[in-house]
Amino acid sequence: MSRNDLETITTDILIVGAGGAGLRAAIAAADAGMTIIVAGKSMLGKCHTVMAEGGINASLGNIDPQDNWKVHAADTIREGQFLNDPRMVEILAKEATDIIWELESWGCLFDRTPEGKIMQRAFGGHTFRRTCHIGDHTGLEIMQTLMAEVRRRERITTMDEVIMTKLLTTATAVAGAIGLNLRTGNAYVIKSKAIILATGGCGRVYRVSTNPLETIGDGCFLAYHAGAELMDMEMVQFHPTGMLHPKTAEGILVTESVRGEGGILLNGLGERFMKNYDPIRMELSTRDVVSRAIFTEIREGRGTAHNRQGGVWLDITHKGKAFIEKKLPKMVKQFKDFASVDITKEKMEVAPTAHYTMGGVRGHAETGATSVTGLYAVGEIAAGVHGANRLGGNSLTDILVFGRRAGRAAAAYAKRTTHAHLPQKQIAKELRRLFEPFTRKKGARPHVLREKIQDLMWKHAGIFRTQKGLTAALKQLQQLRKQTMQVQGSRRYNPEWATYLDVNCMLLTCNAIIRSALERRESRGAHAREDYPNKDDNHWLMNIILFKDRNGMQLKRMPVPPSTLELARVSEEAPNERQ
Amino acid sequence: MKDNEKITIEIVLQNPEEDKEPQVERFSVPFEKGMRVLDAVIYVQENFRPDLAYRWNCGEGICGSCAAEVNDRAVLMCKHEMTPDMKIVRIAPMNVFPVIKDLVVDISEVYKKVLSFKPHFISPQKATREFWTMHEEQTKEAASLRTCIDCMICYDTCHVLRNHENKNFIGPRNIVKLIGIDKHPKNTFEHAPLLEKGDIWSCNVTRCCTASCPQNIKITEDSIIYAKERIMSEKMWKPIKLLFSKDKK
Ligand SMILES: Cc1cc2nc3c(=O)[nH]c(=O)nc-3n(C[C@H](O)[C@H](O)[C@H](O)COP(=O)(O)OP(=O)(O)OC[C@H]3O[C@@H](n4cnc5c(N)ncnc54)[C@H](O)[C@@H]3O)c2cc1C
Ligand code: SF4
Ligand code: SF4
Ligand code: FES
Repeated sequence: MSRNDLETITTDILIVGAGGAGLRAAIAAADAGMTIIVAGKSMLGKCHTVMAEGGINASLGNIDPQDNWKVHAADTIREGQFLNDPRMVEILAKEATDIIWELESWGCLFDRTPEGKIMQRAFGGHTFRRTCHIGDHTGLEIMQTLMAEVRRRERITTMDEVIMTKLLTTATAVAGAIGLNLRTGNAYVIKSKAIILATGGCGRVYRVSTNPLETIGDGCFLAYHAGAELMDMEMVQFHPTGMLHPKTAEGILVTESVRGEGGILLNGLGERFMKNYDPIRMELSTRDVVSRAIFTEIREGRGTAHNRQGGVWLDITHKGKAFIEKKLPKMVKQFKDFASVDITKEKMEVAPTAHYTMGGVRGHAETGATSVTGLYAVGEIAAGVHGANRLGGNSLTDILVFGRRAGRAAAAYAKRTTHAHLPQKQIAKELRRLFEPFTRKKGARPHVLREKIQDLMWKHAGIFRTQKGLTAALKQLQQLRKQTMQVQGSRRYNPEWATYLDVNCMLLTCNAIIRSALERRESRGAHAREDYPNKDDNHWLMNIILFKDRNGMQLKRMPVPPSTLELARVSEEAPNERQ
Repeated sequence: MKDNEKITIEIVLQNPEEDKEPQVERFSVPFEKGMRVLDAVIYVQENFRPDLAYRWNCGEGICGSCAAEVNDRAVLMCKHEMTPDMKIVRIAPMNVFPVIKDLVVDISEVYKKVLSFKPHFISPQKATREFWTMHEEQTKEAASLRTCIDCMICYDTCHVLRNHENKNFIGPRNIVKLIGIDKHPKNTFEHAPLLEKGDIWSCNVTRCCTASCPQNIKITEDSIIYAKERIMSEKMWKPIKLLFSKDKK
């Protein structure tokens, strides 16, 4: 493609990512008078946010009137093992209520209490019941509400199935971005004064993940190469049991209540292996013990057959059909709908599943502004608020609270600035990178590399980690990076091309995860080092930060920002009844 | 049929840039118990046809991206099982929409049709900044309609659109959306009476849309029939209301 037929579109603000965070930012920025383009890799409304089930947290106190923002903040910091940015936590907890009100005023229909207030359910790790929900499809209703608000604002243009592949920068600020329209196979240049990254997490860099196909950490790749910093990349949350088979269902959550109701775990040889890990509590041991036990069985070759390296069996058939149907209706349906397994008669095949990325792009607590002028990061791609572990239900709050703030901040910035000149050299170079794989006569197939990366991450940088494993993974990753890839066929809607771009992002994201995991020589929250099993507050109340310089990826440690005195006190005092 | 035996699938392929007519190609895919149609399509794309266009994202029936026709019936490919007794599995793009490529279609007409109705929730209470009191008996009906995942399967299934009986018909999905707003207990602007402009009377209540919906929404009962009744009662009552109201507009 010559540069002449490169379409250039101009807007005040470009938002990369059309999930909850991106849409909320778009609404805020549009209301501040700016023109906005929101681009998503998938179609509008098909992103990760629609998959959220459980709910969204706010200390409304509808069920437990004692609840307030301070207890919410304290719970968040405790679960985050004091690695959270305290100012972000404060904002999250304080503004959550307003976010729920806003959703309700836009017509989002929350489940109700008998008195007609918004219902709030208990979620693990919360002192009080504060998770507002809409059945088990909270994300769907919230996304539909946001989409309606987006569609009624003429200043917002949405672009479906456009992959942003490169941020364009001048010496001082962002200038725009390059995007690939999957449907036509053509590239665009989008010229903008400010850019908000809202690309979601990177769970799909692991073999088994609850996340959708597209969630592989594009934001890290885009931000890092634009000169922004990444933080807490070692912190990836896993869930002990996810589905394994068939491939399309791989990773879907299997709730803990299956074990709670008497389900037992068996390895590929039929042994009830938990007796070797926790003979007393067996399957009801803590999440991390169960995860590690399952993982060890698989790693040592005692797994089941499916899906490359297999999983283990989860069996509840001994409880009988009537009991199972009554207690676990959702699981019965899930396995029937997506795997044709009748869990009242057959065993379930499960493996630990990657769920949430706490780390990501480092931004300013109040606004999400990164170290690159005009570049903001928000939502799951932004680091800081969840620390070393995320409380269930806090993510939906996070994406809306900070989405709104980033939208307003980017609008304020865009108002007082002008469009920068487009850096032609960067554009030419990026176009070469985009179209090059079609010209190659041979090369690796992108999906093969994707699987290799997912396997090595799962094996060495997943549920638990060692110096040896991580070092080996780093080496393998470097070898994979040297391979050139080929893309075949037409440019129009070519999934292999999308995978090629994904693999490039994954290589960077995984490198960042492994480097940070190697650096943190302790276990904290979601980061479990077998060779450093203890938490070490003396040395590691630190955030690990990655950035790019002339010599490649650099790493530094920064002490966690100091907490306001008041917050520090509540987090220690807060009762912890409902763990 | 045992695992790893081969099963034959047919995929209807078309790149409108290059091909005038769609081509049907056959592929042989290893069978595994429990596999979904989407698994077979992914297998074909990875192994035989790198640029085969298809959509999917969540793999758990909630994003609504993966709809296509399997043996002439629109389904979610991630949910639809490949059973060994299916003689031939023929996978085609949804019939009512223009093809972008292969299984990927352009569904924008559905949104275009509904946007002229300004499908917005409107409530005067907005300014109070107070939470509402609503009871689940009131919210229940709206709630079930609002679980629509925009898969467009009902729209593809409806014979009015499929057989080109009336291309202007707004379609079941859009009626579900509008009535999902109308039934919100705090909504104050009713869309239902406008639906005549969306040719709602083209629908002869065959209920095929309801049978096709992967979210089990009672499309016909809860939205279409409801809307028709609202239109009728509006027609009956409007003259009477006008007669009795003081400020005749
Ligand atoms: C099964 C499941 C259940 C969950 N349940 C809950 C829950 O109950 N409560 C809770 O709080 N959280 C929950 N979460 C987590 C929560 O859903 C996510 O953290 C949150 O939705 C992330 O929102 P986001 O807007 O940051 O990103 P996403 O919703 O992931 O959106 C990212 C957007 O960016 C786009 N994008 C990415 N890269 C590019 C690119 N290069 N160019 C253009 N666009 C791009 C994507 O297409 C997408 O539109 C759950 C997650 C899962 C998987
Ligand atoms: S009930 Fe009406 S909308 Fe539904 S399929 Fe039949 S004609 Fe179409
Ligand atoms: S009403 Fe049902 S079939 Fe129609 S678009 Fe919505 S979810 Fe799909
Ligand atoms: S892939 Fe999301 S509904 Fe099928």
